[in-house]
Amino acid sequence: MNNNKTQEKRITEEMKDLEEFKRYAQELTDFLPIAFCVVNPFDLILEANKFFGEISGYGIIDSVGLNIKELFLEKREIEDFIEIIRRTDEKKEKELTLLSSSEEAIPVEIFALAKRNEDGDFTGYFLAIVDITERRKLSERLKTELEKKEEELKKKTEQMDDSRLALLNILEDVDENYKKTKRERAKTLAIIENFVDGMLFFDPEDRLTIINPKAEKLFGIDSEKVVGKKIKELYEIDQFSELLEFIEDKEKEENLSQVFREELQIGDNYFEITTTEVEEENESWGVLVHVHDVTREKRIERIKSEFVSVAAHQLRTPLSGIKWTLETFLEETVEEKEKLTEDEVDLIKKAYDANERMVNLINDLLNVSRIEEGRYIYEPQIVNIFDVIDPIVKNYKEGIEKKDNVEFKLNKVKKNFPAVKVDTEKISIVIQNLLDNAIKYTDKGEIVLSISMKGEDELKISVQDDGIGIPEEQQERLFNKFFRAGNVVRKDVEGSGLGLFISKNIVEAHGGEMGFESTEGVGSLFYFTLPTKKGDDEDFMRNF
Amino acid sequence: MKKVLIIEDEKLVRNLISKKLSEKGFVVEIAENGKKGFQKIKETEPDLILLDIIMPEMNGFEVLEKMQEENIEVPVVIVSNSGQPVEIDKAKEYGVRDWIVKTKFDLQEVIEKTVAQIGKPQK
Repeated sequence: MNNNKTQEKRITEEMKDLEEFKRYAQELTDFLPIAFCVVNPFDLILEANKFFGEISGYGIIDSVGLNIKELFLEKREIEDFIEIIRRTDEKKEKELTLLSSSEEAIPVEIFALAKRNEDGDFTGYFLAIVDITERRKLSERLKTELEKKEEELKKKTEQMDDSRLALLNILEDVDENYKKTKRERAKTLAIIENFVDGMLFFDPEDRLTIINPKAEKLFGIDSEKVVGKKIKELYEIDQFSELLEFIEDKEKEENLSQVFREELQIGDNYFEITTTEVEEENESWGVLVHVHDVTREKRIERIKSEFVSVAAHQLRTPLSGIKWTLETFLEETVEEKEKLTEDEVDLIKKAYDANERMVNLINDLLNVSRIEEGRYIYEPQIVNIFDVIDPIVKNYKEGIEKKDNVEFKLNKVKKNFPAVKVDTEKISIVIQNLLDNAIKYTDKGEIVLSISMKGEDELKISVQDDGIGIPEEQQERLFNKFFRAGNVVRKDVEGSGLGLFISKNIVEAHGGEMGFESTEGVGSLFYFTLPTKKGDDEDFMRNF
Repeated sequence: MKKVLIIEDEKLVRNLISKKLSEKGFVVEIAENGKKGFQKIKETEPDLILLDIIMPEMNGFEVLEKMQEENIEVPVVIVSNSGQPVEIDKAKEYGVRDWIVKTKFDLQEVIEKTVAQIGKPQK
């Protein structure tokens, strides 16, 4: 009995322990924040915890007896899942959608593990459900974020593609520009190489960097032997020394001087040399020496000048014969050796005058050709200006008396003027020219020759007339060769249009200047200046 | 009788001067170029030579050169169409008395200048 009692007591205690454990297990399962249930082999729920009841919406009590498959949206998939559980002892999981009692679809992840008895028979399974709404949301968000990032990345990639394309385009442009520059350079080089004139280029260190083929030919030199050499070294090369002597600046050593179209004779050849400082933004790149071969022009010039001399001589020879023949006729008429009528005498006089004009014209032409060739020679002497003027005035007065209505006046501001150094013959040509023009173009009025001082060291000689004047629009061409004003041509007064050109050249060769003021129909004032003798003789002579 | 030799290639000029001088009472010899002129200098021994510059065969300067070579000291007056200072200076070195530019002077003046060199002809 005691044994029974003891046994009963033990059983009771064991029962109590079991109850205690069950309660503990219940509390534990209820405490765990996981929905959990036990399912029998026919998929019916045997037990469910508090969270299961909550998530399914059926509560703990009503959950028991439900077919687990009914709780999920994806029927096929839950069946397949359970089938896998039956056959394996491993824990499996799957994401599915739970349909709650209120028909709410909840994204969940389910975990299941098969239960087996000691014989290994399948006795059902445990199934846990985890609400993955938040996880889904998170993953959705992550997915969106990811997509966004992907989109951005795509955009960035596209942008980069654009940039890459742009870069490629730039590179292409650069390449194009490079090719263009190369082409331009080739073109420039071709121009230099084929240029008809010689070209040499010295860098700022006075080193010869370029010599074109024409220059090689002109100087009979091989570019390889001279390029890269400094001026000093180049002096040792015979063909170059004369050119270098010509262009080197004597005052500043190792410097090239500015030369503009100056003539250089080397042997039988003549060159026109021009140096140009090449600058870019105030930085000197060097000096370009331009060598223009004028040997042929020089020869032509000489031939032309010889031709003019010969032609002028040939023209003048018969004119002097005619001059003297006509003179003889007139003389003999006066001496009454010949009986000529007044008309005949008049004709001969006119022929004589025409002949004189012809002589003057030829002399003018000769003078112009000499001026242009720089062969117009001056023989200056120190003289009193009246030594030049008086003989002209004496003749002029006689001539002017034949013309009624025109009066001549000599206006000396002072009695004595400083001496001048002039070529008397040439300055006489100038004064004669101005006086001749005045009388030619004045029908009525006065002609005044004035001598005065301009400042302290210049003499001013002027001729004023009451003549036809020069049309304003033609005034600037007055000193041009062969120029004759429109009103003058209409008046049909003889003239070559060379007088003022020659006069201006003569005056300028004396270091003076020539000018005029004129109003058409009123009159003209022509003047020129001459430097007076002052200081040493050499200085005074520098203009010749 | 003063003798003048005219060396001049231009016939008209030569004849005009010759005529005038003859009228004045000079004995006139003529030559149409430098070469013939130089021969005439030696043959006729003139008192004065009127010499042109630009002539065929031998020009005026060549005549002056020849005269200098052979020490012929006859006064010379150049009668030429040109009259460049360089030429005149060159002529002066040969001792030429005067240089007359034909177109600048009347015939009358040429005669006067000739007379001035050798005096009036003895009649």
